[in-house]
Amino acid sequence: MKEYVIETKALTKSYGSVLALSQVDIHVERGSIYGLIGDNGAGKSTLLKLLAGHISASSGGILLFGRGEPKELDRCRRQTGVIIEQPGLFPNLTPEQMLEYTRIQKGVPGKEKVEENLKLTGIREKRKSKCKNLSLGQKQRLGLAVAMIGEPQLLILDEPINGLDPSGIIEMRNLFRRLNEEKNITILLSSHILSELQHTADTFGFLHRGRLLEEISSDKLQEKCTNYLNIMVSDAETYAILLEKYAKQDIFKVLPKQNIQIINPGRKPEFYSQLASDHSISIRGLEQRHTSLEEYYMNLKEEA
Amino acid sequence: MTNYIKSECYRTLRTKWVYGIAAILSGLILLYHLAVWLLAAFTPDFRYGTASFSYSILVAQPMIYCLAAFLITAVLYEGEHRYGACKNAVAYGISRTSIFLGKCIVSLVTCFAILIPVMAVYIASASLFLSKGGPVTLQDLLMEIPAVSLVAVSALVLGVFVLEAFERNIIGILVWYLILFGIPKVLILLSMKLEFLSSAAFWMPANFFSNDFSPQMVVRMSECSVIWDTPLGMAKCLAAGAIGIFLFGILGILALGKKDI
Repeated sequence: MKEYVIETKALTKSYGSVLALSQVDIHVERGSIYGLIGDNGAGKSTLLKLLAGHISASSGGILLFGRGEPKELDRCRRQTGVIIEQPGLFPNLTPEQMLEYTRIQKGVPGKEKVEENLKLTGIREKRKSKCKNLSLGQKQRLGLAVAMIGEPQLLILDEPINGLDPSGIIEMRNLFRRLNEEKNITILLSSHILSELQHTADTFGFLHRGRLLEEISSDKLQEKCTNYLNIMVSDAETYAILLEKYAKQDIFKVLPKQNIQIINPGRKPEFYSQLASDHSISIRGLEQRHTSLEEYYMNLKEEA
Repeated sequence: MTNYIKSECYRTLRTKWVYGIAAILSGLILLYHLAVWLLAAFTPDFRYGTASFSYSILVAQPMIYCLAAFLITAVLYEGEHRYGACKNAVAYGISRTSIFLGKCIVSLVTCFAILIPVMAVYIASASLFLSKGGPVTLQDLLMEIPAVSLVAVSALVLGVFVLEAFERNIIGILVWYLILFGIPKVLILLSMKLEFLSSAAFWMPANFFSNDFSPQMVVRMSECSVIWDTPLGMAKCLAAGAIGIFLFGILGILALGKKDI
């Protein structure tokens, strides 16, 4: 049986007449990296804020580590590290002081935890600088170091790679993987850089206009993000009949503007162009493509 | 809550402004007493070179302690919305009630930590530089502190609440001022026309501590009579403060408990 670290049940949040989140059911398995995908205003931050207790739900429920009573939720949140919107740093404290402040607040014994987390997140050289003098990327790293104090079992991170340079993104991605693999920390992260999530997450949740469109594992997504052949012909209707006759195993879609899309084509492109020319249909364009995560998300949105 | 208070104390000890306020207030007091001493030394018939006059500044305006308490609270918590540091504590599962009460306690401790050296400088420099005699005594000043303490704490609790409740600090400051000074003033003025409002108006600290409105507060160059001189008057000061702490505390806990942060 699957063990969920986060489970929501018909979670709904409205601000006055604006529905920010509607009947959302997400399931984050223990030990997974869950990528939350959505446009700006899709409800990602609202969902994460609800999980962190920053805002309260209009209706529906949240289970953290299988528990859902308000007092139990607060207790469960002690096993959680969070960065939402901004890392929550005091500008006049140094990173070292900020971590010590958090260590005291979380009641974590041992001052060496501060040093460990500074090293873990690569912020050690800036330990004596004031937080207000750190770059956006350094603040993000420090935010993660703060969230990691107390060795949480769950990390909730809203756009954690925002402001990082390319090497910083790779370092952060590796860090997430290491935390996940070595310490079995479950990570829920949102990002608008979908390709980045594709590299990191093993489960995806697609949010659009406050609704969860789909929850899918990376294996299944891989299957769905298929190769396809896009052929533009002079007569799509006749060509479709030919495909049904000569390429029965192929799944295809007739698209507008005389386009035909063959999903996971079973033969080489030459076969399809030969088929057209043998029946006096001219090929105006032939393109072999792969559906990316972005395209998959766009298709999902269109369908919704 | 203990850990939250400890962490806030750690931060407060590293907030330069806290030391700055103590240093600025002590410095200003010292300068004032020095200036008065010099004026008294070189101006014949200078009436203000007495410790009594200096003490009367504080004794005549007990609400100054409320302003000081709010100032210190504001220094500690004015940036909460901008920095979002409180979000970490909530996300970590510390209840909002604990956070609110923790902030009140830390502000209170900080106020006392600043009050003690500042008052020491006040009393020591007045005793050292200014001549004795006059209606306002050191005892009046020392008794003022317990009399006004609970009222100042209630002002502090209200301060923590408004700074937390309003995104824009300026609105919080205005609301705080309106509740502590504006409404009492309106009530006392209305009570001149509408007698039945009088008793309610005189339960408000800004009114019963006022030299202008309260018959129990007469602090002048020639005489000194203060509300806390009598046991009943002292009880009223403490009771009004306790009611304020209770009301603003409940208001803070209820209003902030569900607030989106």
